[in-house]
Amino acid sequence: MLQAKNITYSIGSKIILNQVDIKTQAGELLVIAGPNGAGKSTLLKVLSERTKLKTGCVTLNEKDVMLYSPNELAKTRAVLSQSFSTGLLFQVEEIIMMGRYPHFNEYPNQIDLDIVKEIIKELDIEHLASRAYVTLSGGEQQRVQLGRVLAQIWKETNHTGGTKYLFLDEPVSSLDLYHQQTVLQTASRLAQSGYCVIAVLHDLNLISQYATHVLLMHQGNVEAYGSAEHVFTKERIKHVYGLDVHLIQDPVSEQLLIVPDSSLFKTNQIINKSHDNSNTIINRTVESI
Amino acid sequence: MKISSKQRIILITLFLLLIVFILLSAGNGALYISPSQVFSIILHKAGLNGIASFDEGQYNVFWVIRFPRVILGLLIGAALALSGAALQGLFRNPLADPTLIGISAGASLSTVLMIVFLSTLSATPYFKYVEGIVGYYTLNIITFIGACVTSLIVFRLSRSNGKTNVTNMLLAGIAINALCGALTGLITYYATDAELRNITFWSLGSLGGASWNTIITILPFVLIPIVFLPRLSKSLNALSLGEREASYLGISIDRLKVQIIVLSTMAVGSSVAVAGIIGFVGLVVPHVLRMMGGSNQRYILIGSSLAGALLLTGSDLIARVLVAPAELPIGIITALIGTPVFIWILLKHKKESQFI
Repeated sequence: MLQAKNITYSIGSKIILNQVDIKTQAGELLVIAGPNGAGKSTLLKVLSERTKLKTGCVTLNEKDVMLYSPNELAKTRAVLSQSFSTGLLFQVEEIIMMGRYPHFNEYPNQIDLDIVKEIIKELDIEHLASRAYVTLSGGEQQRVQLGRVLAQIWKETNHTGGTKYLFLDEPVSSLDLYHQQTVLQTASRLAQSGYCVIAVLHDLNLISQYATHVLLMHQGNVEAYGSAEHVFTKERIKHVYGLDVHLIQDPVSEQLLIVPDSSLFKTNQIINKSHDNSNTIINRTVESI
Repeated sequence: MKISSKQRIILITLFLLLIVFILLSAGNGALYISPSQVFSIILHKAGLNGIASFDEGQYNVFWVIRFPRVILGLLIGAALALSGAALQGLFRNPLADPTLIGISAGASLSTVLMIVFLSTLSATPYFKYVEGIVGYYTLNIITFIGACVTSLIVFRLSRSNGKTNVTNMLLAGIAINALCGALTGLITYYATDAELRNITFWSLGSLGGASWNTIITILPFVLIPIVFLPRLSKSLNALSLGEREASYLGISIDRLKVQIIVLSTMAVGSSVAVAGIIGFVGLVVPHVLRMMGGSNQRYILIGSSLAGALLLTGSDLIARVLVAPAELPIGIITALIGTPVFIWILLKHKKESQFI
């Protein structure tokens, strides 16, 4: 179980996270949602790294994160960052093997080699396995990085230790429609097989499709927590994102769909905004005179 | 990470080439000694009977002058290329080399100081006392200290809150280089013609000072990095993913930085101290290897030791043979051989190199 109690994190005097509480466990796919600047990425960082907090603490499997050794932590959780190097002169297999680094000293063991093979199969990237990483497209590179991260916490057959945690920071940001689905399918399958997956996602429809739990952040606070249907109400989305939406149910999958009301947006907000802007410009000009 | 079969072939080829060049370099020069005679002399020294006969002149030239020189070339070539590779890995920047963190600048400054003020200094009783202990090696020791002090200053300047910031380190390196350069220039301005000639030759590098004593002196400083830097290859591979990614993989980035800076300074500082500034090796050798066989740091680090030793042994051979019985400064040769090879590989691998 991952538990964060009353965490407050600030940079200088600016409070980025304010008394946030989180509890999530094996089998769950928790999505952290919210507008830009709400503190999502910071929250992910605080949960996944050993960070000095103003108040509160984070525990993984009932043990304070600060008490983990770097290697022990690396075997317990893996993090897929938003951006990664693109110019690595390594083969795809070599990149995925890097995920096994915390598990061996100088040379990989047989089990490490087997796990890399399993992951290549799991992610359906056999055709890329012996290619040079630099020659891959952005989406392919992102899937290879996901493979590396999975290798880090892949459960060995006779695994007896505690829950393993996978943190994903906007894992589908550079993927096409098809690969967005495959990556989130993989994440969802991992959660079902006993991992705890914590992801930051922007697309509310993908969230409602895959998240078992949603944590909606707003200005450093937890705005709402629960299932997607519970969290995403018209009023709340208007309050947090400042946007009117329609909520409809997909007639085939019965999934909740969140559709921005573009007509409203065009007629009111743009005009309002440009109006505001011209006002501030005028004000500024007046001030400067 | 395992070394791929292609990388293994490159390493084995380098090793075999190195053996060939050691024999060639030991045999050629003002006095010719055949490879079988080289073997016989070494066997004779070990108390065994050789296969070929040799005269005492050959024995002395080989054992007193040439063999120590070849070994010194191996050690310094390996040290320079290896530290270049490690620093490029640490800074994740293909332009990084030992000059960048102030090692060469500090060594130059202290050496030029010594050359110019030697006559004044040697009159003081304290200096006489020091010279009595270290004797002939005073200049080398001062150079080594200069190299260590500047890289230590650069390292200190780049640390804040107990963490080393790589960008700050680059900037601090540039600042210290500029300062040392200005001071070196100032001292050079006051140097006499004879001192100027000494300074120029030192800055072009030479293996002329080789003796068994120099080798024993620098051996630990070069061997320790050769043994320990490749052990950091896993961490350096992870670091190529980015500092944050590497720390997610459980690597203590800050410890890694300290280890690499200390080991590189040891290797380069001691090399510069005995052979002057031999440019180009540390910058280019790792590049060439990367373009030929990829970025796996275990391969890059081991390969750099071999290829650096090869480049310097070959260059020294040419430096001695070309204008025999005189010799050219070795730094000129490394640049003259290295540059065309580098450009050739650059053109051949244009596609890969744009990603580096």
